[in-house]
Amino acid sequence: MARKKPEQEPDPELDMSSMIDVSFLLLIYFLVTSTLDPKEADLGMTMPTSQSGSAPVEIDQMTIEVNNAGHIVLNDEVLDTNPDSRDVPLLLDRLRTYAESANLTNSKPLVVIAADDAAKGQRFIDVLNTLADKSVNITNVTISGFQEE
Amino acid sequence: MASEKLKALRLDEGAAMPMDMSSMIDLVFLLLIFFMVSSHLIITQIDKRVKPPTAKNAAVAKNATGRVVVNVLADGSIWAQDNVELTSSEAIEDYIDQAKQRHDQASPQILTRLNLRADQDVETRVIKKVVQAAGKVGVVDVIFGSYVVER
Repeated sequence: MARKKPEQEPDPELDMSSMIDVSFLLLIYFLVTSTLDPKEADLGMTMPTSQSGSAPVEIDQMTIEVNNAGHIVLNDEVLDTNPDSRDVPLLLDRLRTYAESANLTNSKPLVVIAADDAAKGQRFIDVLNTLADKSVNITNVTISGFQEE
Repeated sequence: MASEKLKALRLDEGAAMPMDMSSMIDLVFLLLIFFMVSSHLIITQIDKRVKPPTAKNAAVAKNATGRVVVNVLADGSIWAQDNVELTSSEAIEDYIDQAKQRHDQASPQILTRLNLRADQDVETRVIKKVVQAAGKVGVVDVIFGSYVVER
C-alpha cells in the first residue's frame, strides 16, 4: 500500500543581503544629499533688576551708541565705522579698560547699549559679542531707547 | 591518501560558510537604542526663515531648558515658537508670560530665559520691542541666537 508521505515544507530562510544592500544605498543617498546646518550658539545678556542683593560700589555706567549707519559711538567719539566688519577693535580696547577699572574698584560694570531704531541687528550683536569677549566679559547689559507706550 | 581526504574536507568547508547576520543586526539595534537613550537632544524648534547674526564669542548651549523662543524675521515680523505671529507688544507679553508660568510650575529652580532669534538684517527697533516686552513680565535673561562662524 502506497501511503502518501506528508509533504515537508522547507525551512523558510530570509535572505538579508538584499535588504542590507538597499539600506546602504539609502544611507549613502542621504549622506550625499543632506546638508548639515551649523549649530546655533548663545550670546547672553542680563538686564539689571531692582532686586539685586548687596549694593556694589558704584561705577559710572558706560553708554555705547550704535547709530543708523552702523557706526559705534562712545561719549560722542566715533570708534568703529565699518558696519561690514565683525571686529570692533577700538570698542574692544575701551571695554577692556572699563572692565579692568570695574574690577579694581570691585564693582559690577554696567553697559547701556543705545542703538538706533534703524540700526541693523547684526551691528547690535557685534557690540554684545564684544562684551562677551573673554577679556571683557560683561553680561550686565541694558538697552536704552525703549518705546514709551 | 590521507592528504587527499584532508584536501576534500577543506574544500568542503570553504564552499559553504553561511554567515549569520542576525546577531550583528541585534548588536546594531542595541547600540542604536543605547545612543538614543543616553543622548539628550537640545530641543528648540528652529525657524528656517531666520538667518541669525554672527558672533564669534557666542557659546554653543549645553541645555535648552527654560527657554522661550521668539523668532524675528528680516521683515520685522515676530513669531512665536509654534508658528503663530505675534502682532502687538501685548501679544508678545502674553506669550512670554504664559511660557514663563508653565515653566515655573514644571521646574521652578531654573530661571526662564528669552531666546531671541533675530535675523541679522532686522532693525534694532524690533529687538528692543521684544526685549522690553520680556522685561515687563519679568524675564531679564536674554539669549541671542547666533552663529559662531560667518556663513
